Amino acid sequence: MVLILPIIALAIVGTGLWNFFESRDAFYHHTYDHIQLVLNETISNELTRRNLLLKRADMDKVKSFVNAYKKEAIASINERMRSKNGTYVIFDKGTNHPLTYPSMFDPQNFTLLREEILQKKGDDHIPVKGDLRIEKMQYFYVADDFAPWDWVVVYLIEGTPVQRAIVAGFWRTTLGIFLFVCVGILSMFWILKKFLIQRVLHLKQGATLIGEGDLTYRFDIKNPKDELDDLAMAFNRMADAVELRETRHKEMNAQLLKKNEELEQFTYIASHDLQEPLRKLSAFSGLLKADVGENLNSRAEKDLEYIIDASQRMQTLIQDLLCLSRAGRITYASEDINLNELIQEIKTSFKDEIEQSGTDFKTVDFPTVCADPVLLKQVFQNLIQNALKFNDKKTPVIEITCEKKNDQTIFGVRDNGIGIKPEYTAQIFIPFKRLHGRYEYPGTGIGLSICKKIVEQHEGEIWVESKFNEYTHFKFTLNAKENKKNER
Amino acid sequence: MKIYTCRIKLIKIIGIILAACFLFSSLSAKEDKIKKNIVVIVTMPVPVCESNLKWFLAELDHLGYKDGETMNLTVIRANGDRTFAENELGKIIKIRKPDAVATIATLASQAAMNVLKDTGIPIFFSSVSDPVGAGLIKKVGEPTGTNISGRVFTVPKAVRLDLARRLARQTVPEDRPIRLGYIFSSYSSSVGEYRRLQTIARENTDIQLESYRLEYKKVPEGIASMLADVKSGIQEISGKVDFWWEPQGPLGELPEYTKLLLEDSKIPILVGQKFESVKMGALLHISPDAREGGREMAKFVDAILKGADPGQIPVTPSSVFQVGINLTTALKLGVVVPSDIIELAGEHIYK
Repeated sequence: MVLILPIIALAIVGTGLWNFFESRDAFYHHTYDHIQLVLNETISNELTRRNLLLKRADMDKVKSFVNAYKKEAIASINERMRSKNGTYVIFDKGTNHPLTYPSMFDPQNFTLLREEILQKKGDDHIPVKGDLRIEKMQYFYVADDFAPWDWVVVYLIEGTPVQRAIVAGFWRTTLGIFLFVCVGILSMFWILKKFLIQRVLHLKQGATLIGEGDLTYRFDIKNPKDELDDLAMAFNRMADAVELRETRHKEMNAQLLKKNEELEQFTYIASHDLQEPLRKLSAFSGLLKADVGENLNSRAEKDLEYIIDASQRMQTLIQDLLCLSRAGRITYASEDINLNELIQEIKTSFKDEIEQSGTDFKTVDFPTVCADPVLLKQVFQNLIQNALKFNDKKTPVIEITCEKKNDQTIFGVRDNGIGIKPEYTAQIFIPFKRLHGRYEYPGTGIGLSICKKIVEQHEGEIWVESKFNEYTHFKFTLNAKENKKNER
Repeated sequence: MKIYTCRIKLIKIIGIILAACFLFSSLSAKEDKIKKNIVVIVTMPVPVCESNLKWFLAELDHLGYKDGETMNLTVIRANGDRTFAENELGKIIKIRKPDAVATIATLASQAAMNVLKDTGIPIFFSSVSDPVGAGLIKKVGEPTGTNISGRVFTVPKAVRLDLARRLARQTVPEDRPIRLGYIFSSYSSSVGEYRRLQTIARENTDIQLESYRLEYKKVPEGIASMLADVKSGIQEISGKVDFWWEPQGPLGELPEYTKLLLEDSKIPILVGQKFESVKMGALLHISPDAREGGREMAKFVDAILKGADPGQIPVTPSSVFQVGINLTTALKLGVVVPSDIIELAGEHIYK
């Protein structure tokens, strides 16, 4: 756009100048043609005709007739001159005597004109043309011979009207070109707007709608006429494909959800139903030990101990599995929780472990959060339990953190424990994933999976920041919208 | 079966006979319809009348009228005898009614008008210089409403006077009028022209008219007598005139008249009545173009034969003129003939 305006301006100026020179030449040409035409007409009508008549009547040698016809011709030329816009000069080439010239031509001017014409003509009998300045006036002239009478006839036209006509023609044409260019540009814009921009905008609107999810939107094109129609058709095809994929995706999602539900149902039922025989196994193995405990040899007693231990571990495992299953199935209750109190409760529940290990338990002032109290308690419990468990320092430190970042409250549990190697941070939330041996650090390896599930149920995220042998900091967020409301 | 075949043959024969009769009758009717009866009456065998007749017949031929084929042409040469012309026309009417009558010059036109007055037979006249004076029509420039129409054989007086004056004034001093001598007969066209010249003289102070009137006598037998009268006229008015002006009509058409004026008076003729006058020494001649007049008359006759009403054709003056000039006379008089007159004269420049 920045370049277009100077180009148009240059084009107009260039065309104007070109037109000026063209029209100037055309006007000069036209003027000389006009003068020549008048001259020819005059010579033909007034001089040649009379001379021919004289010859035909055989009177061209009779002086009285010739002189009378010359006078007649001059009188007739003067008569003709009245209706013309130019002036005449006639002089006898032999005597250089002027036969007639207009009043504004004084003898000096006449001599000037005559000398110029005779110099240009030389001995040739051809018309000569030129322009002459007489008393600040410019005259265009054409001079021609009338050989039979040895006359030179000059017809002159004042230059000022010609110059004026040239300038007027220049402005007229330049203005015409300017208007033409303006009209052309406006028309071009109008055409662009009507036939291109509007259609492109229409395409954009359609693409936006499709992008926003209205996959039913289609451009109404039946017979494509140009590239834009082809583009619209391509959009339609793209929308068809996206709609088809979306439908398939939804179907697959539904299937996946159904399978998940079935799986959870199965897990729940399986773990629930497994508990009953396991309880019996545990109970009866306990009874068996009590009944025959003293009579058993050491080997049998050890075997019985294995059975009791295995059944108890199995029980813990099933309970954790049930817990994980419930975490996925329970519809959580959303209510305001005083987190300070909740942390205090949890701290109390871990009182013995904290005291025995000499852990420095630090908390901050927490805001009220909106969440399921039971589930949230479970999250903090699991994380604090892990912090207590995976710590080999003389003075373990556990910090319950709360920080604000980008309008979001991030809760966390930080310890100065054994830390996690970076390559394992992605695996720790997988159910039953253990990074250590069962005898090194007891547990089922399902606690963090439960935490993840609960946080996700609260539409939040959970992640870990850790440095091996230095610290581990679990962080999580809860439903941002709900908690934002609370903050207000 | 045999009877049936015979009947068919009979019907066919009758049909052929009827068709032949119809064809024959229609051809005859067509022939009758095409063949026109045209009568031409010529006043006298003078150049203007002869030229008029010649071009009239040529144009008729050009228009498709062939004597004996598509028309029956009868030419009555009156030789200046009106009674003869009337009698001849009367005889023709009794034998075959003409479809159109063309008349050349005044006498012939008067004769035709007299004979065909109440017949409704169309008359078209030519070479008549004063049709009102001759009693043919009531007014020039309007349709007659009768069976007669024609073209006036005259040059507008202003044109004739302007040409004559431009030449004459070169020899006559500005301080006195140009004196024109006019010796004429009592023939109607001559009288008509005399009246027009009188009007000109009255309206233009630089023109003076000296006239001498003699009685018109039938030509050719009356020519000698009329020329004798002309001699008397020359003697009477030659001392009062600068130029002669030849009269229209039979007298002016005579070469002897021109010769008499030139030889007996030694006064130049300014306006001759005919080209022959210019050839003999008259300075100027101007008249309607007889050739064009003849052609024009043929075209009007054709239109009348095709149904045009002569009563609706306005009688107007001729529009084409011819000019003759004698340069020897001009040089002798010291007159320079202006270029426009030379141009008008065209081929009629004489020395």
